[in-house]
Amino acid sequence: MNLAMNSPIKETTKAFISQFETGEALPFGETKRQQAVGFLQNAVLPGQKTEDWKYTSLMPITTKEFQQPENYASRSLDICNIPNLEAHTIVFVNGALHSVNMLPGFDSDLMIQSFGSMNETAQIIAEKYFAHLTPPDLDIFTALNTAYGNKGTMIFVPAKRQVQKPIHIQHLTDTNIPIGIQHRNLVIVWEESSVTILETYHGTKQNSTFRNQVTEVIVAENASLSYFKFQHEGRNASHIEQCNVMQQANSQTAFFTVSLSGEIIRNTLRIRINGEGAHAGLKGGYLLDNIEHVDNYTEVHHIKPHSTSNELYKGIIGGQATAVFSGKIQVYPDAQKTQAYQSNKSVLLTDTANVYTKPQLEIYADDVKCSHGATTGQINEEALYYMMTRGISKTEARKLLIGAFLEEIFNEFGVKEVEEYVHRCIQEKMDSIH
Amino acid sequence: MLTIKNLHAEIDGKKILKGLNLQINPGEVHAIMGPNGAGKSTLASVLAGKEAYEVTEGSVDFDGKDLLAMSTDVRACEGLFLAFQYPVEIPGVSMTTFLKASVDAVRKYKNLPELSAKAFLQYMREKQQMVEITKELTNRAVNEGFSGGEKKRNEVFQMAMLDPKLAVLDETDSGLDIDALRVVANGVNQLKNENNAFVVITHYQRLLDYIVPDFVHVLYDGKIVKSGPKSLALELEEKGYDWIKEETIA
Repeated sequence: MNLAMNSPIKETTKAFISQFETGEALPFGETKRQQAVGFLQNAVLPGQKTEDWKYTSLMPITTKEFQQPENYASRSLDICNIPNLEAHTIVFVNGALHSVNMLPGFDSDLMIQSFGSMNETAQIIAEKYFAHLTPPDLDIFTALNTAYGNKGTMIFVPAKRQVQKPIHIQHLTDTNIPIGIQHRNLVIVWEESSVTILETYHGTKQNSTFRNQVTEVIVAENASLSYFKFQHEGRNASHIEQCNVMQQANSQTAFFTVSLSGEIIRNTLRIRINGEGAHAGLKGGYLLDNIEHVDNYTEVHHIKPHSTSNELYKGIIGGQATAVFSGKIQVYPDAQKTQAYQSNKSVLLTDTANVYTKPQLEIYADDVKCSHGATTGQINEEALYYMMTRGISKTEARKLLIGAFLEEIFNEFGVKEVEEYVHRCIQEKMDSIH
Repeated sequence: MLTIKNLHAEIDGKKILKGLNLQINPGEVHAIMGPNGAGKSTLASVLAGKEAYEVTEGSVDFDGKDLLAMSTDVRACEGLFLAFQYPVEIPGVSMTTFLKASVDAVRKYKNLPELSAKAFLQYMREKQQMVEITKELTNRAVNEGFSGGEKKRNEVFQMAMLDPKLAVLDETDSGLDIDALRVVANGVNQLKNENNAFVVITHYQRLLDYIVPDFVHVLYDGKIVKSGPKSLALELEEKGYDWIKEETIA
């Protein structure tokens, strides 16, 4: 008998996987699914000896039992609403499709479809690009999603279309039991098109939830994409995300990831710039309290010459919370004239808050400009005092300073209603942090 | 308006103020002069309520209220203003946001309604002209990238916005060229009336040519050792502080 097969981690992994096994499969991607199922036979959960998971323990997730979500498709969605925002929306409640609402006058070629109710054209596209950027055997969470996930969003912007209004993917959890949700996004922005996507996560109750999500994004030549992810699902919500992006020549992207609450959040954002003259922007912000834990793992691959990337992650960490940032920039031998910048700035509010930062530069070309930097500090006491001498209370002064610190992360998204909403959510969360 | 009695204060166990007495009435301008290390800036910080300073003895009465019992922000709301020697830069917080928060906080304390955005901007424009602050400056982050002179003008601008009962100017003249000095002094002179008072802390007599004091006090070794009319400042300028030191020791 093979001892390794019965090791505790193997048993835990098996039990963990079994919670997500469902019979209902998607009408595309069968080969990839079989590969993923095969991979899971021998997969084990990453432990703290796994380098990329060194500072993020999965215990809070693996020690809980998650059930299949109840369908609450009729529940109120007010909590997900962003005041005055005009957007095409696709809404999921507890992982299941709730509704799709297209604004009047939209381009009929624009596809915003749920995986469960795709038309034939969409299925052909999905068959081709599903798991194209994210190999089924990339890691255990990807494999789990590929093997058993059957919910998702497909956004397809045909060539030469400027989608005027943002597309808003809303996720709501509303549950009395711990639930596990798998979701997948497939986003394709074809040549010379542009689109803005907003993906928000909200929760109505303080129950434990686990969300395993894979997002695949293709941005073709001369196309541009702005993608904002706003995580505010509650302090007992865990979220593991694998976002893989492929950019072609002269494409532009701007990714924003703002995490305001969560038990364990792990955002992987991996961008492969596979064309000349392309630019990738990555911005992330977090405001954490209690024992919240956010781990942003990013990779930017400069594969072809003359591409640029700019990365900035900033966070405020209070209570006993932990923020982890790993940022890898890889410049391939051909990728001359690459310009890549990265920065991670943290402010610790307490002595018990933790920050781990790991920048990594791997440069195989000789004519490049790359830099990285990290700072960790406290709230500027002199600035607080200065503001108080002007009559502003300490609480208000702290809110102003923290708001200003995080503002830089989201104030270039370009949708004023979203920027104002995020700003307000940050101020509200500040009220609960002391 | 302000009565300081036998004030003792220390920082990190080091005694700085050692029994300071001072009486300030409405309508008066007091200059406090003295050599380096005498405790001039400490006095300003103690009055503003900076946490690092510990008051070990004495009392400060501000319009019938115990100033030392109030937090820094409440002191400001009660009408005390400190113009900083080294104004603090606050990246990311715009001047407008900062001033709105400040004016709103003081109005709220006085049970007055918040100013509308329009009324606030109108009010801000009026005060801006008084201290020759440009619109570009108010669009920037608080003190960020301001020149030395701009920072000091900005202090007087904030003072004009808050219209305090008592303003303490901590070496506002340091690092100012003659034009900036004139602008700052003009601002103070325009704000001056029979209901408010100013304490001008300075190292040099120069500023007092522009802001004329009713009283000049010499602070030495944590105490006010000499008080007199404006001519005392000229005497100090001429003779330096050594004769005061000798007089005190004798």
